[in-house]
Amino acid sequence: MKRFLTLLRQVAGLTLVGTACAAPDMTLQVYADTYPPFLIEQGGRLAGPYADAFASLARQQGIAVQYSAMPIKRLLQQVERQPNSCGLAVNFSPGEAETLRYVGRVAPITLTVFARKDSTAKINNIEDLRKFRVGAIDIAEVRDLLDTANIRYEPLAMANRGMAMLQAGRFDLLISDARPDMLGEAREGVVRIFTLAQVERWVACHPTMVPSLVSKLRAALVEGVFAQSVRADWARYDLADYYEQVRRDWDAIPRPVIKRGK
Amino acid sequence: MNRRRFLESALAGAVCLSPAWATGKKPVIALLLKSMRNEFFRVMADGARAHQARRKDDYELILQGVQEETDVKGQQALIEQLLAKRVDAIVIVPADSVTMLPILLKAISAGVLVINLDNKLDDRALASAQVNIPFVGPSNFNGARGVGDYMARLLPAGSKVGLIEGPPGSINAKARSDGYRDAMRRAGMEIAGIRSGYWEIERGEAAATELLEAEPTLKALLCGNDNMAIGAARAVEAKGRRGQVLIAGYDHIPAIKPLIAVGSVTATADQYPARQAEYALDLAIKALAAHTPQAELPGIVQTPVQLVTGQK
Repeated sequence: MKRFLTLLRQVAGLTLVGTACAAPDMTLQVYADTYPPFLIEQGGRLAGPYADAFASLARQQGIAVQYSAMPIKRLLQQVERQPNSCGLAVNFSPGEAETLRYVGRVAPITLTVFARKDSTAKINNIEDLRKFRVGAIDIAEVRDLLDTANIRYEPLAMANRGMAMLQAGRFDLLISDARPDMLGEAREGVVRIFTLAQVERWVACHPTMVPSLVSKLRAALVEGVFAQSVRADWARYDLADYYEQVRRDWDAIPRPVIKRGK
Repeated sequence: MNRRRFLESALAGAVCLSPAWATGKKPVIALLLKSMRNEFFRVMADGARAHQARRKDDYELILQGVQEETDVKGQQALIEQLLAKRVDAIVIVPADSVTMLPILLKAISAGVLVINLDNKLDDRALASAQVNIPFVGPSNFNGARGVGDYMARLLPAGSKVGLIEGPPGSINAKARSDGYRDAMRRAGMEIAGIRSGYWEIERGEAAATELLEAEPTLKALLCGNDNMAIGAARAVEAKGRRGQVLIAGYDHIPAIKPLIAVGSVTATADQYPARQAEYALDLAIKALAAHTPQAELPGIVQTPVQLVTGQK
């Protein structure tokens, strides 16, 4: 009996130590702004291939994801305040990187210059933008590019209004991360002029997130949301071709090593 | 995170990890700074020396720095020397947020604890390398936005302002510009131009001169550090526009104080370089004592930043 009690005390002691050092709760609160067709609100919940693929990849690492839709500015403030939370598919910003942890890449995005179809503008490079009224999505990478090149622009409070504003003549040119092949009806009225830059969207988390959880998220995002295991998540939204194209082109995707014969 | 929370979390980490048995040998921590010509880093170095003097039983300090703000090769060479000396930890203010990473990865592979101070390494590069290097420093964005908000209250609506920022490879340079930009935009001001002054007085003066000539109606020059603000003040004086163009700096170095006192520079931000060094050295000492692996260090340890103006 005495030996049993001693054992019990030891087990209790170990349990207490274990509790103090226990792994964190593996349910992660994730916020995202809508970004059709990759992030959409469907029946009151966040869906789309980014959301579904990220949830699948996180699950493989033992992390359950709970989504909430939120406009980007509020989202960044929320993640900064709330431990154990992340923002999905946020753009990189040097300022935010001092208060949030950018843990892994989600997807590549292309910043494209668009004009109205009837435009006669002759534009070959970024310098030429100076002569026009420019509207641009409001992300740090675009702000830095345009300000450094001394190009005046109107930052868009709502990125998804950009195409309509361009067509309505609010400005001559639009810099957007919308894909020309996914513009829907808006595609009829606009034309792609040139690619300004390639950047990426990220998962950014609360700064005090425990290192073990950060490591798991990094492992989950080694190939962004384009790992082979999540092909079905893309196919479900009829975006399998896009998924394959990104897997072919994006430098985050490891290339197969081709062994040469003797 | 405030200092108490930081120490609590560091302590909690220590409980979970293997106990820090004394080895009988004091750990050696190297503090590697950027431009020692910049007063900001001299104050930071003084803070580190004072910290070590208070805690001389806990660690030995090696203090080194390069002369130029962007001397990446110089910093890389110093790290090689520190590795040869087998230091236990390196606290570094990197001369560049991306190109310094490979040598730091080499240090980590050699078992040296690496802590990033003041100018953050680029998260994009850290994520690609799958490595955790904690950042100890302020939010430069919030600091610059605070200075920008103050300046905006002194400017007529719709004023044109110029930005003079640090080198393109520095995350804190970009963060400060974005903080200024945010404040100006919310106040309805127009950013009429940006030039890099590479953190230095002479190049700041050249950048300011260029902006003043390109935009004669400029009402303010918002500078990413005090050295460039000193250069901007010279340029404004040379153009005979003192009092017509307001100037803001960042860092609150000793040399800016007389300019703020006479109104040549309107505002700056104090980010307490000595305290930054103390926070980073505290983190290094605790991590070494607890044998905390690099991967288990906290990601970000925020330090304070405060607006400074000539107003009493």
